[in-house]
Amino acid sequence: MERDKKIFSLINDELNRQTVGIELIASENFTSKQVMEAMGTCLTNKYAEGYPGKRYYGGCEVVDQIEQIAIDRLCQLFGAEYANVQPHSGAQANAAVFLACLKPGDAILGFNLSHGGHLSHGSPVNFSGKHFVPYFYGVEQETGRVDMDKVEQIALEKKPKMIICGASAYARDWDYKRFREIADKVGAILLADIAHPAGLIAKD
Amino acid sequence: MPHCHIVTSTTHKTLRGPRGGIIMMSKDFENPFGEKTPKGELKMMSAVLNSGVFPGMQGGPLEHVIAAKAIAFGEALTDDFAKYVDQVMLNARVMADEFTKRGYNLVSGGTENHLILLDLRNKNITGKEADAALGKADITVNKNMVPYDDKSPFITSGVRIGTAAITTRGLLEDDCKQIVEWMDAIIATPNDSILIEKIKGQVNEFMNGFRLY
Repeated sequence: MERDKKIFSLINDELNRQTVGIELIASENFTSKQVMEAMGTCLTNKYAEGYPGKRYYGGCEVVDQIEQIAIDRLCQLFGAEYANVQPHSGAQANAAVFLACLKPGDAILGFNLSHGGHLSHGSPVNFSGKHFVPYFYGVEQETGRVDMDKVEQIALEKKPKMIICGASAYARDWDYKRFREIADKVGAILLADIAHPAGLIAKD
Repeated sequence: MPHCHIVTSTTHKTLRGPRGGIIMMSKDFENPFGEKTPKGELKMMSAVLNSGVFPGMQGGPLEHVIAAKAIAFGEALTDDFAKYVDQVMLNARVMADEFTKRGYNLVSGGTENHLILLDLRNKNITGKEADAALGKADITVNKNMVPYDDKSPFITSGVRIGTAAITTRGLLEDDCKQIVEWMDAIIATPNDSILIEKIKGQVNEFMNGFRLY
């Protein structure tokens, strides 16, 4: 097979674009070279449905070790007891949690997309808003911040089965403690989507 | 983390890993939905969540990406990463202060993390126009709705700015002030193609000093 010059030339164009400009998109970053290197390896050839030690395919001895190291390091990084490193994306991770915890038609309470929330937290154009009944909290017009008393008020009124905190454009810390108190009050599962500040939280 | 039942995240934003997702729990617990094992015991949430990912939502995992995640988590456990994160937040605060000094409105009045949401309604420019004009000078941001926005998601009244990527390149506080100066000049005169072309040249030369790979 001849080398695909067309695609590699375009990849080079993108490398040049990333190099010469100032990247201020808040959801982007530059990985280390070794992180990129790992993604361009023979591991992509391997089928490994299941989890380390419980796979549906043979020949998983090596990838089992790799996935287990990923799980262990992630647990250490966030002080977690459980981790799943398989979701292909953040939206997939959220969808998997919804599938595991909710039934179609259940009420959910998320952060308003137009106030800085995320599509996968109940937007009507997303799976989360089509299969579940979404309610939203937002920020106050004067302060630009979430008013936790209002979150509680909506939660008590709508009785969601799941409350989601987390955003794609919110510059303030989240009161996770208060969110949990509200979730406990209405018997909801509290899901925190920390996609944006994950690195900041990992450091603490 | 300890306050939340379940935590999800991407791995490619401030965590600086490969593009992907993760699910975590601080503490495992018996599922409250009454789901039982074949033996009649309540399943743990870990088992319920694992089933939600596979076979619930996905098939074969991307082991090449999982290997890259493992490497990135290893990197995030180092002191260097902790210093990086401090600088990300410091850079964001410096940019926020600099924008405020120049008469910009920041949603919520500032930042406590890596991002700033600029409300451009007092600057007579839409998010879309600012995004496009800055892009011509090789400064990449994204247009973003501000709370109670009267414009559509395709136009918007704001732009979202984050410091995770530029901090990886090695930019510090003074560099951030310089960026705000360029951005302010472009936002003030988004149709001045001569000025934008001049700033683009300065941006390219400036970034040449910060190695990427």
